[in-house]
Amino acid sequence: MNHLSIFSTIITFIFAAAVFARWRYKKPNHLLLWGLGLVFYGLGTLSEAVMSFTFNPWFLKLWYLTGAMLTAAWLGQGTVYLLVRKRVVADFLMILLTIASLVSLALIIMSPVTAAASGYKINLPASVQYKEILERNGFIIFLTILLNVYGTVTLVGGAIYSAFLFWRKSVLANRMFGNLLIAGGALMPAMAGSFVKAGLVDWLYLSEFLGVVLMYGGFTLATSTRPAEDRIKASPASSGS
Amino acid sequence: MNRKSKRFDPTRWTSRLVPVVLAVLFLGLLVTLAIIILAAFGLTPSY
Repeated sequence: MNHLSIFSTIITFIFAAAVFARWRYKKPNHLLLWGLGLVFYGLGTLSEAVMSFTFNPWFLKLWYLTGAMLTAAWLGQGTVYLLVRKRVVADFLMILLTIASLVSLALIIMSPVTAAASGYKINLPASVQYKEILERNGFIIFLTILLNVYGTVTLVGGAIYSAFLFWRKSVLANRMFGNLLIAGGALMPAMAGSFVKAGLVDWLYLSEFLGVVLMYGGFTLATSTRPAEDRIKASPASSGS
Repeated sequence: MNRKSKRFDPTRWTSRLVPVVLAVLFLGLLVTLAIIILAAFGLTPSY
């Protein structure tokens, strides 16, 4: 099951390429940030995939930085740019996120790797072994929590809020269903840590895989040119004419 | 695409199932945040 991260990586980078391809027309900030967030997601699963064959301390650091610290926050910042109307607020949060990310990068590069690294088991995910291998000070842990809470609230909360608005107004069914899928997909890797703590290690890889598949499906549905509502139910007036 | 064409007629599924899904997702969000915060204080069981 640990090789599932290879497929997660491939799908994530294809998804990121699709987001960047859409971004290059009008270059909206939210798509750029979603694309970057997905690159972080892909680097996290890529590091996991590499470490399922051989251990390397730099891949552990890359996994922690991208997978555990930056992915959710950068994806969530994209949603902030999409939903927050006051541009100055989104820009201010972007500056804070950039500073937090650069500080995280520096701290993780400087974090020492302990002698426990020699006992790394490639059949177990990094998430159940990193605490003994990568020395993290209190500030790194604080930043990890802060970035994850921010990312989860903005990404998942933003998708739930958007889906609720589309449902309440009965408009754009494709975006309503798309946002439901994005919210569900984003929750999966966020809850992966809980699966690991419960001893369901294999669920970690599965949740990462299903998470990106659901988000990709949700994004494709939400950005489809032909709204899904046309397929769901044609109005009596249009079907009768 | 005009405004009228963006609207959809809610079916029984969309009017009843979507709020349930939204509530489940919101609950999932709260649980996830609670786990993140509890883990920060070392209050979750470790593997």
